[in-house]
Amino acid sequence: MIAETGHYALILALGVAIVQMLVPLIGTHYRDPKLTAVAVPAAQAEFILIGIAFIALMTAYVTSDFSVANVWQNSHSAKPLLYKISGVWGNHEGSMVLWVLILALFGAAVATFGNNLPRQLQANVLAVQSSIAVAFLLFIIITSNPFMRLDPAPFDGEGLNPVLQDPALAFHPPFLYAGYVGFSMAFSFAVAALIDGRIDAAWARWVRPWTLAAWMCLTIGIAMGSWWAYYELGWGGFWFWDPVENASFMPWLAGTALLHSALVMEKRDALKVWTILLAIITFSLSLMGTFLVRSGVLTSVHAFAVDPARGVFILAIMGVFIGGAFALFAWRAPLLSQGGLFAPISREGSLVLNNLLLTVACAAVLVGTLYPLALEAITGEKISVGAPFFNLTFVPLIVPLLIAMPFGPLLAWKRGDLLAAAQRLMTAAIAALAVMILVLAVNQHGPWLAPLGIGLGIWLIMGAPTEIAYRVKLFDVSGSESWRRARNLPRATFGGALAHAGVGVMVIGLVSTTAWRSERIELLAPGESLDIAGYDLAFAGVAPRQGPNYSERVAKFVVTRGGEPVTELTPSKRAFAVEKSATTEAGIHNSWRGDLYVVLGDQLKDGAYSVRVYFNPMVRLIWIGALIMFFGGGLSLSDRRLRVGAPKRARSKMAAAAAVE
Amino acid sequence: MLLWVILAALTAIVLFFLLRPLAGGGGSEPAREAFNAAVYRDQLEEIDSDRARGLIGEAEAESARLEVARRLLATDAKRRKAKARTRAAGPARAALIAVALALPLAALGLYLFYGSPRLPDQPLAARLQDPASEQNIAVLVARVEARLRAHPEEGEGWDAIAPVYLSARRYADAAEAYAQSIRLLGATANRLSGYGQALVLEKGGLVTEEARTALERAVALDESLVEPRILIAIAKEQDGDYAAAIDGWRALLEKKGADEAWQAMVQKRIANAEAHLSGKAPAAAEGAPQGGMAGPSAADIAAAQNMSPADRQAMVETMVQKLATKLEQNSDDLAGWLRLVRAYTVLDRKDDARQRSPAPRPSLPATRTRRSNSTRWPQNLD
Repeated sequence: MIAETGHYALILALGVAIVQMLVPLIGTHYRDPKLTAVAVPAAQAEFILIGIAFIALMTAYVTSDFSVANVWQNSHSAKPLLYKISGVWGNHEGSMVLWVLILALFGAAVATFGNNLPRQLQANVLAVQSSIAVAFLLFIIITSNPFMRLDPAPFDGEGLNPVLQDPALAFHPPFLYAGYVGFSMAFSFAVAALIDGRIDAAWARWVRPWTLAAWMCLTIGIAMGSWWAYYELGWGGFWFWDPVENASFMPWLAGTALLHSALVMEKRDALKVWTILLAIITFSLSLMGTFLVRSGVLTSVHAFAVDPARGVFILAIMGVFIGGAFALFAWRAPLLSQGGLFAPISREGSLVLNNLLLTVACAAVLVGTLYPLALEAITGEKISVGAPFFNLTFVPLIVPLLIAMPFGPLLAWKRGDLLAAAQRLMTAAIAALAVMILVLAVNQHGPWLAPLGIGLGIWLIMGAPTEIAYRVKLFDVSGSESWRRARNLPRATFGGALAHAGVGVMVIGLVSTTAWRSERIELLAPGESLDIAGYDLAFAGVAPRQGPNYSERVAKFVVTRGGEPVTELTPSKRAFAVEKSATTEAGIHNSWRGDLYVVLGDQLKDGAYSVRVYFNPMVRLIWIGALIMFFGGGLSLSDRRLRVGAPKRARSKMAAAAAVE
Repeated sequence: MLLWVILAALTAIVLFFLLRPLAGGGGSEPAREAFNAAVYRDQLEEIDSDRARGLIGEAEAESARLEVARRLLATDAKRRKAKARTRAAGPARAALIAVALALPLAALGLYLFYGSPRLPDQPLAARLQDPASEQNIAVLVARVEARLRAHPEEGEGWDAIAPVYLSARRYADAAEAYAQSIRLLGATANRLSGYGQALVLEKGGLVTEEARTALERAVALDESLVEPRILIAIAKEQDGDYAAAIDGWRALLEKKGADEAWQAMVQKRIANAEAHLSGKAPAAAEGAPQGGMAGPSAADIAAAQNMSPADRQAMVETMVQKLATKLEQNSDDLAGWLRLVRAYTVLDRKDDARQRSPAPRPSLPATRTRRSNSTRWPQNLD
């Protein structure tokens, strides 16, 4: 009965979504306030109904109701409770339900908290948002229905992929989806503005919190995915330029650009058409990511659905929404009014540079992701585009952006003074240079680019306090005056600075791990030992152990450093009887210097094991950096104050740079 | 019945909230420009407070104020142009009727098409306690498994479930269960034989050293067992010792009358080995692939439960006959072959076999009937 109620709720949600898609649009067209008013309760009802369906599905998982086919395929009575719950979205059908649940959540949030929106705009936004929901609800009900029943019910489930039984993975998809789907809000706002044929600075302010929230979720979602890949897949790496990773990274790049261009639009009423386009592109990339992951066109570890019917369906959804939005854009964008003017050297100018580099970098990733697929589709030849391609294309694009980043916040709106900004950044530059020389002195054997990378990271981190110091006029005025100014600074300023510093922290982590990682692959018999990066690892032996739904062979390594005991590492190989598969659990010891990472390989004939040992210097900074970016976004989101461009004099000498539209 | 009440209530509540704005009085909505103006006024205030705090200079503030004021003026101009928007109740009434009728009908129709309103929930805990499902072997297995998880030292449980696993083709589980029962209850010919079979089938037909040892011990304890002797002969074939393998096969044939279908396989095997001995290697590969042989369907099993013992015996014989015919065409199916041998054993010694095993052999019911999709997909990552 619970399962059937969930099934009905899902179908009823489809009906409500159709009402929400049509009635408010008719209302705004005929200017009938009664019809437009339907949007709000419809969005709320849609969310509650999908919520009921989701809870019903979760109940079936928790109680191991194997009469529900989806539960039987993806769960097992012996599974720990946490993974019974995460099993709900650890499979195709359930994850699609989560997808529409988050979509409806954003819609309901706009309906409930969007009192500051003009009713017409709100109604149009909710109608567009709901059209996405209609498409995906149809997809779920027709091709991926999680409420299909089995009669008679099997006695036990077929289990979840053991690789997925992991706490980081339990929470990675919800965040990732919140990010993907959150950008649907920016998309809906953009399409609503196009339908409306009008767009102004206020629009940017309304769309900003939703974009920021989506960006935060995507940031943390990607970081969690990378963290999970790092310690679970046992390769010692953290980012593989895997198409699925790229699929989440591209919306992030475009979304980051959107976040910055919306800033220009809000403050200066400029870059309007570009911002609309970017909103459409960002969500299109999210849809593409969903398509790549869900349709199984990729032969990566991530591809789940091998059913071509589904792929074609999502492709159709993608075509309708992306094609429709771009057609609407081509038709309506020329009608939109153009925005304000500004000089190339100004805050706006720096944000345009940011947008330019981010979108081109995003295009590079897009090419690297889609080219192999296209080539395989056309010629049947299978190639893989890996790190070398992205190192050659993505990195050279992103490095100038990083170098320019601290300048942006120091430039004034409308017309900035680059020289003055450079002077203010002198401290940061000196600090970066000093660290660079220090690193070079310590590591005299190369790699030669690494100290530059570390210097870049320091430059970015130091740029953040420089900006704050500039704003509070530190040392120019008395300490108490500076303190007063600091307290009065908008939180968004701190948020932005924090996020930029987070990028610096991440850069340091990326560079040092990539440049100075040590790796050893050895055959080791119990009793033998090896040394890496100053650590001695004594291999004590391997013992069997029984877990809740797996049995494992656990190796024990006693780690010492200069004779002093450090820790004991217990990497293991787990065998899951029900799923008939195995996973590798790496043994990881983390310190400020970096991570010691041990993976147990196979046993060879003479009793020796193949053992892989890595030392990843400062690898944690990557995820710490992402966390800092997340909190920076949160701080900015909590700022309700407005941001209005405060242009300097010089209106007369406007070195006319038309807005980039 | 309760389900329908819940669904009706759900629909009614949703309709109530959805239709309320349509049914209400025709109040006019605030014009869009008012919202824009609110934002711009907010922005003006913000500039003033920034100026008051000294965050921006007077000249900057003045310039910013001008810009925002210009936006505000533009908004006001638009607002004056916009007419008051109130309309007759016509479209709202039409929409109300359309939604009130179409939504419940469409939802109900779609649900009746896709849903299974008659199926109750079947959470595992409730199923395990339900005496009505006593007949269901699947539930029995689940119950034994649950008990074994709690009391892994009960050898009887392992002993009971091991052959069930073997016929369900869960070979790794079967090997584990046999190993546990041997450890806890001691080695018997049957347990050793089962253990050996499970190991071999798990490896796709390859007789490992461990399996061979177990099988040889089984034969040493009970000469009459057929399955271990087949596998030992196959092991010899795999070692390339065709002469010894042929001896093994011949010994098997001598022991039993030549009337059972599985013995045709043995003949083939002998011919095969002889061909090897004479140097003409035949095409048939060893280490036979397994699987491909369907057990009785759920319907067969359900039917069997309502039969008289004589009928049931007849049904089992028909099934065995079918299996034998299939094996004629595919003699490399080692799992099928062993099952055939086992089936004859059951027919020979049906009474004691049935008493000893909790499962109606030869296989578990195939419950995977109403799948939502016929294709399997690997549950992988995201």
